Amino acid sequence: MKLIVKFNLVLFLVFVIAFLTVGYVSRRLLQRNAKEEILENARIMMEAALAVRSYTNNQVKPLLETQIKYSFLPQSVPAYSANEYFNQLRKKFPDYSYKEATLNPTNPVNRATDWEADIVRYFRQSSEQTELVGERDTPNGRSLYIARPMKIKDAKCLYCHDTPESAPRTMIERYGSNNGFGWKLNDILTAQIVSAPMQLPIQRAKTAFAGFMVSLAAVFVVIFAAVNAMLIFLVTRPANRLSKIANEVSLGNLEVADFQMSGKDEIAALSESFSRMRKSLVEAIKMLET
Amino acid sequence: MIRETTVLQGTEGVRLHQGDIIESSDPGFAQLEFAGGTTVALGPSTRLFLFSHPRGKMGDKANTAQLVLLSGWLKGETAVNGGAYRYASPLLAAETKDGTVVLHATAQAAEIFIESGSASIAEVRPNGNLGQSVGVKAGQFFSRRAGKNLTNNPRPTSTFLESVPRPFRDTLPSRLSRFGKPVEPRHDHEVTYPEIQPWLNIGQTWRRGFVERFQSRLKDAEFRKALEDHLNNHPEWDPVLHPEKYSPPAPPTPPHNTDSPHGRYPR
Repeated sequence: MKLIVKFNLVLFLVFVIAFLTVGYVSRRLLQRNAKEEILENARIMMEAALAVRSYTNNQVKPLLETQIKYSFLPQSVPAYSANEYFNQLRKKFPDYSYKEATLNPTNPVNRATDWEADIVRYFRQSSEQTELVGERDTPNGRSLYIARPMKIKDAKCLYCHDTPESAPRTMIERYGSNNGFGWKLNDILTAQIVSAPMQLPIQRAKTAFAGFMVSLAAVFVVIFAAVNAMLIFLVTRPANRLSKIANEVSLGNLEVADFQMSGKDEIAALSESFSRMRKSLVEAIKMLET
Repeated sequence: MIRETTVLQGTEGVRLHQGDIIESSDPGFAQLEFAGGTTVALGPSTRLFLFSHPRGKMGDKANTAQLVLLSGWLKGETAVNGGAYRYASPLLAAETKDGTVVLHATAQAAEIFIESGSASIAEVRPNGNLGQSVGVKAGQFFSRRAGKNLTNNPRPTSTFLESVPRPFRDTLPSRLSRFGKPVEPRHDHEVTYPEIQPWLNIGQTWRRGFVERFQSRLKDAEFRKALEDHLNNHPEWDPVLHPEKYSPPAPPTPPHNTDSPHGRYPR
């Protein structure tokens, strides 16, 4: 087996092992990073929604207080403004969804579904818990969600959620007096939930992984080609020529052309040593003939 | 704006006088701000008579300000401790010391919405006097059609909500501090009969001073003729127009007598 073949076999084996190892590690790493990135985006979206809620409660609602006495304006409701904000956001980030899942909401749209109600109840039981990340199966595939509890910290909220008698009449007209009342300060009735399909981080990770692996393969190919070229030009070819000359000399052809290699590497040293040995051999034969 | 017998072109910053009649254009919006903090807004095509405004000690029962809305829209934000205000129309009236009320009046109907605070509501008799009043709370809505009784609704009707002037849906912003020195209104012309006619026909309680106020306009032949033509609507003008009918009968001519007057009476 030729030297270059042996060399390439070992190199290929090393490359394959390295490729598979790096691929496995990077795939897991990229998936985890993609998931973290999505969760981080979700956290930013949640914080932004909270900021919108606070702005609505502190600045917009007081301006609309008189108008609410004439007709109900959902723009004065923090949950409505947070949802509207998110709907705008979804135009650019359609994969994300937002809900303020509530056990006893005024607007039935915000009513917590079974799994959402479980999350709210979990936060009610674990008051120290500030965040919950999980995955769940949906008809559209696996979904990733992040949830945070919403505690009633502002007494202003109770203006609309304490009793039907104290709530704005226009709100009662819109939503009735059966839901959304009896809230208490510091109670947890709502969980802020941002969901994204699990396919999203997987797809992102796959895209990044494919790019990375193609790049890695390309680097391997380039290294493979460079190593082979160097092997051929610096080792194999000079070794073949030396072998050929040695073969001619051994057959008695002392007139064969000399082989000189420039440089100071091992092959050049071998070439120089071989030339010197050949000269010595020619001199010895001439002395024997005389 | 009609002040005494003169029509003035109102502008922002004009100081109002008791007895002023204010009319807004369509589309138009006017805001009156009273000492004590009460603010009254007038919607488009509104006619208001400043029958009396608060004087003396605030909160004095006899010191209730009275604003008479002949037609159009009025929103009164009565300041707490600013005295009592009566917002009246020919069919309905609301009186409050701390409430915000919206009053809408047409020739055939009147509506009142208690936006906040409390008030008392009363039907207005044809002579301008109030009937039995009832105490009401914020959020209630009352309406009355001419010749019908008062109707109470827990919420304003959709027609009312659709037609209420948009600025009324917000708290009225005070602009009084922007005007240090009162602006003088521009004199336009002397009032004509058509301009004052609706006011001459309102309840007697409110129009009782009009004869003295507009008497000087009888020099205008057209004004006088119009008064004559509609005398049935405001008969109190008859003594002014026809004083001869009301002058005491001339004493009978004494019979010719040469006696001394002293001779007629016992001493």
